[in-house]
Amino acid sequence: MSAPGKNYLNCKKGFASWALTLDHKRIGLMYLGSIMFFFLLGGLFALLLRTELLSPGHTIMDAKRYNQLFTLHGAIMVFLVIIPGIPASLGNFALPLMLGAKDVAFPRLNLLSYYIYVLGAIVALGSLIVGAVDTGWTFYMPYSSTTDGGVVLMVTAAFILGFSSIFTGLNFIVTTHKLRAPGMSWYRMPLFVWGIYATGIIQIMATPVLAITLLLLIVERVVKVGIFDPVLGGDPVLFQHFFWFYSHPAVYIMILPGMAVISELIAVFSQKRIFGYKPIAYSSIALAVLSFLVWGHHMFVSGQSELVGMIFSVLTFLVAVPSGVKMFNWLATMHQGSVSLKTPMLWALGFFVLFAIGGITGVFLGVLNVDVHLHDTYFVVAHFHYVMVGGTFMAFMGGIYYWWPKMTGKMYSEFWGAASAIMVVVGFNLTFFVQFLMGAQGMPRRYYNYLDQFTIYHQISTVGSYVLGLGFVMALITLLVSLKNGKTAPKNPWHGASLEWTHTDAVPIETNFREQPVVTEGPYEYR
Amino acid sequence: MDSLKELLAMKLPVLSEWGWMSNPASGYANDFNSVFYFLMWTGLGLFLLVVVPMVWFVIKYRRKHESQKALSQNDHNIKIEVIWTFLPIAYLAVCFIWGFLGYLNVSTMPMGAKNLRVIGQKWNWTVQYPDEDISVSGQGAVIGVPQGENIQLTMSSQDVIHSFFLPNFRIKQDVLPGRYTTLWFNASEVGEFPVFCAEYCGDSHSNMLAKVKVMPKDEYNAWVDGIKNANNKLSPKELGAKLYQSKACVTCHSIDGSARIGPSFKGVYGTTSELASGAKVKVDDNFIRDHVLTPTKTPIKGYPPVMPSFQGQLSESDINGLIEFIKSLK
Ligand code: HEC
Ligand SMILES: [Cu+2]
Ligand SMILES: [Cu+2]
Repeated sequence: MSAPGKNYLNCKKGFASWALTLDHKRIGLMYLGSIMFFFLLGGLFALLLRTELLSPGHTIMDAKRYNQLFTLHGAIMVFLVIIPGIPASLGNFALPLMLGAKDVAFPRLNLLSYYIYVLGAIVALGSLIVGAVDTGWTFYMPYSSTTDGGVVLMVTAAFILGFSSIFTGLNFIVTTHKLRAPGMSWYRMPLFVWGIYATGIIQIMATPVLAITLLLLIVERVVKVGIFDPVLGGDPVLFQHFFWFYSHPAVYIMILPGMAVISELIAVFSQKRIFGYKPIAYSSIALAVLSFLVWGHHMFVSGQSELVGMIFSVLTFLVAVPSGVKMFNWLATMHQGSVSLKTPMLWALGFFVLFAIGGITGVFLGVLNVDVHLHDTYFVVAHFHYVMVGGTFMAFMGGIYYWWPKMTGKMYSEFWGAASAIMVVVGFNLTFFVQFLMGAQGMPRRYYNYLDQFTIYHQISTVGSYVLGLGFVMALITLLVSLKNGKTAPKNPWHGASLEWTHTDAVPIETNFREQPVVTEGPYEYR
Repeated sequence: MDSLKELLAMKLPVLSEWGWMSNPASGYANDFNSVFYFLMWTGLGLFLLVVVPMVWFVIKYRRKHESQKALSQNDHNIKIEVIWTFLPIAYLAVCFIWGFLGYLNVSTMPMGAKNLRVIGQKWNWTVQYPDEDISVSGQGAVIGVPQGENIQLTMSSQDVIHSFFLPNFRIKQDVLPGRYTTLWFNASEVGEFPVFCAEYCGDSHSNMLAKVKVMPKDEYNAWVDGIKNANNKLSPKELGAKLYQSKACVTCHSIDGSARIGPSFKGVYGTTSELASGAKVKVDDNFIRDHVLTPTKTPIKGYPPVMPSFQGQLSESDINGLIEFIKSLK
């Protein structure tokens, strides 16, 4: 048993104590650091892209470089930031604590999945040395079998990262089944756990399909077997089916954890029992299941049959229902609560507004003939940034701020935290709202050059992106500064009622709990 | 590439209404706008439906002192759960049906439509008119169509996937290698409307532009005659120079010695080139002819093998014209 004053951060020292740690909390922090590094890198690329788009044609780079940069931006943000994102960092840190467990079910596998992530990241960056890829993160065939550059390396990287994702998902599922504290029934689990659990299901079921697809792509490129490339007798639309069969569920790998965080934040910062616990929990599972059935909505104009298009449109609308259910239940949770506007809650409210816009514009895209017009325009770009950044990433930031005192034992500056959250929301809307207008008017995406009439929209968007970038950098600096100057965090600064707040030290000890917690009530009993 | 500059400067005429959508140029585009505006206004309503209460709750139930408790711990209400699960389903059903009807309209080809053949290749469109026996192509190609007639496009790609996008008509369709896809429209408005490539296809994806020029029938006929005459009157060299632009050789080959994706045409005729296999070949009439028809057979060393085949797109006199043109570039 740990002596008083010892915690998971100071119990062991030195590089090896981190590099070889099996502690889920330390692994979570290592993920967090790596993910933030790649977020900054991907963000830097985004700012370069936006700067290039200040004027039509050449501004700061040529077309080839532009195409390489948007590919890198997409690939990094999808595969290295948002997909691992919340589960690997916050999930790793908080899930075992919330369940009253000492660690995840397979601590060694957990460490291994971190190193697989690092390996994948290195291979991805290695493709830059061979020659930057310009296929877009979607690797559409036959373009990606004909262009030069390190396509094979980049694809291998995505393949490797898939394993990291599968292992993490597996670990969480087993942990949730096997390591719950005595008395922790399924319905006493915090909703964060339900969300991460549902994510785990998608991770282990969908990712293998991506792996197979990418493997086929490599085989085709290297051995010249005709699978997707019509020149060799293959079918390019087949690639799109395979690809989206993974990548649509992947959208839910990205958003479900975000929703999971929001459920915690809204309840804690309203000091009110979450409204509609079961509907929220079941809607996570429903989203996980439905997410497998809607991939075809990315392909309404790809040449697939009308009947197939119709079926996918219906199924796509069904996905909107559980998402709506969550939104309404969160609202009802705030009703008659004691609503505090601390920084994590500000991120959550930002999520609420931006995700609402993302969801509603998603309905536009589900409507068959409207999608025919909007497909592959900036409308789509704006829509998925509202969902992925306005949704997932806002929730991610909220979650980091929320658990930061528990992770580090430090309180950050409320003022700077709040200021950066507001700045991000403002910058975000400046950047992306105009993209809806452009897209509806017909501005296609992945365009280096564009009609003069779109210039003003692009300029507003670019200025917005600088504000947005600054907001995120401020948010991260605020956190880093707190490490040095922050006040010591109390044990339970937000009056949370789940185990990570009620049963641990201010900074948890290595084995999490000084004695085995026994659960006698739900996770949202505030008093 | 002046044609390109001119094209980029062209405006999608924007409808005054809210400045939101570009001008509809067909009956279908008008129908489309009804769905779109329906979604826009109901979407705005939905947005307010969640954001107004949110703001209201934040203000009304704002925690004023640290120890303030929630007013209630009420955590479920079956009735309201049922309402907010099923009411959205009704709304979504309306959206679906409306959109589906529109989609049927776009994807059912009308009988007896005038057929045009569209060929996408990096990075320009070629449109062939089987009825008139003419074709137009190149970046910035002007695709003339008669007003008020059903036009069906039968499309395929020479290389990778492209997508034929007509924003003013609210339609697009991917253009695939190795299979035909179709698209149709009936232009109600006279005017010029841009064509974009909407599926990412490489370096000059964003320059893969053309425009549809909608004309009254008699003007259209005159336009067709104009194209026929222009081609007959050209000398081989002039024809070659024109094809150099319109078949987009210009995107990959310069005529002033500067580097593009492929070797410059300047002074290349009569010299010796090294193939990827190491063999040396003389650039003469036969070599150029073969290389234009089957470029993969004789790839030049040091360049990516991306030149598309022009087999079936160039007549004998076109090929002669190109050769004469290249020959003339000393
Ligand atoms: C997409 C780019 C592209 C387009 C369009 C293109 N070419 Fe090429 N062309 C190349 C490349 C790259 C090479 C060198 C590699 C090879 O031989 O495949 C080449 C080589 C050639 C050569 C051989 C040059 C030499 O040095 O011996 C000729 C002749 C030629 N092209 C003619 C044409 C003509 C005529 C057109 C238009 C009808 C055309 N090309 C269109 C990319 C293109
Ligand atoms: Cu999808
Ligand atoms: Cu294109």
